[in-house]
Amino acid sequence: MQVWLPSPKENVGPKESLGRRLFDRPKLIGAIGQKEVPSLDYRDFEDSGDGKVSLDRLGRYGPEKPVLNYLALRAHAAGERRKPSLEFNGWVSIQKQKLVGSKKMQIDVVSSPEEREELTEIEKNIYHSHVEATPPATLVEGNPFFLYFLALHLKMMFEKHGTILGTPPVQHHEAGQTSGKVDGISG
Amino acid sequence: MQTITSQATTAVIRFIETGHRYLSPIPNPPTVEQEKLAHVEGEKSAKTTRETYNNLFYEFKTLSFDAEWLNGIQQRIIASVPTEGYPVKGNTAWLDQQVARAALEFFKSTSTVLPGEPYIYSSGAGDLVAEFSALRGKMTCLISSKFVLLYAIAGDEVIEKAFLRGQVNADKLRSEILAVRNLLSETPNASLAAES
Repeated sequence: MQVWLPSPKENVGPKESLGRRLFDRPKLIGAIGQKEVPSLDYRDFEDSGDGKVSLDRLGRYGPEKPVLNYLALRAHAAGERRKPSLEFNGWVSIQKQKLVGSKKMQIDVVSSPEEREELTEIEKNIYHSHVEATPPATLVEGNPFFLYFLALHLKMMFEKHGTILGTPPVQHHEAGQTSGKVDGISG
Repeated sequence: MQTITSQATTAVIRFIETGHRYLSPIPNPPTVEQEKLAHVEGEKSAKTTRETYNNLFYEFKTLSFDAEWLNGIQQRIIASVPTEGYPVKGNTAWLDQQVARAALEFFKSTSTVLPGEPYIYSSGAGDLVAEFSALRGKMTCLISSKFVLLYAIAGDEVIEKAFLRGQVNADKLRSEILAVRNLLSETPNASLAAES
């Protein structure tokens, strides 16, 4: 199968596999060793302050290996840029139609490739998308806790319908690959 | 006879309340090893002192009618508060003192109506996250110095609640949480349901 290269204006398809990156998060200093509850970490679903929760488009009908390889390099690098740095642990993936199908909260997933010129090659991401509330303004203005509940809603949807994907081994020097590009994918 | 019974009851309650203070093991602040785990660049001054730790512990000390896990949660929260310096923004190994106080108050007033012992951590924004697991679903509480948010899923039902600090009294908070707990439990506890 040909490597998937979504065009910037291509809508996110209902069958597409979407992934939220998971990172190894620090535990509370006084709570080390406490009994864990099986759940995803809320911190992995907090937005960066603009109300747009980033997602990776992992494949057309399911996760595609060349796409995962391309994204894993970028996810590892993104974790290292954090202060303190965070280790990338893979994704939790979900089909788009399951993610946006809840009547409890109206959301959509919008394609938003990161290809600005000022970004380095490893910061660019042609598979980037983000969650948007529909309609965005009214929901946020009507509920001061909207962004908290959005994160909690996404966490719940991924817990209910998602699948954990381990991180593929990082291959910095694959054949035909330079500056973080995976063979066959031009970012 | 009634007077004697009443006096005896009072004495027992007094013993439980005061005796507990001396019978409870004095909690330990974080060990050097634990401090090392949370140590990151720019946060060299953040540490917990035994004095502040013990003051907080006795202020929120557990009584016999609280949930049995409350003491452990209190210790974890208090031991996560740096008394010198402040947590670096985004470093979720530490808790802000105001958030810790709000969390201690929350657990103190609601421990017996919560679904069980929570798993706690700090959110990226510095709030306390408490995760609960129950027979029919899950509940997550976000506790900040200004509000408590509750998000639960019981079967197919999703419950969202927001409580502003100072606008909801402890009884109201307890009854609201109890209603959610009953949805999360397969067989709602009749005696506790009567409390609401």
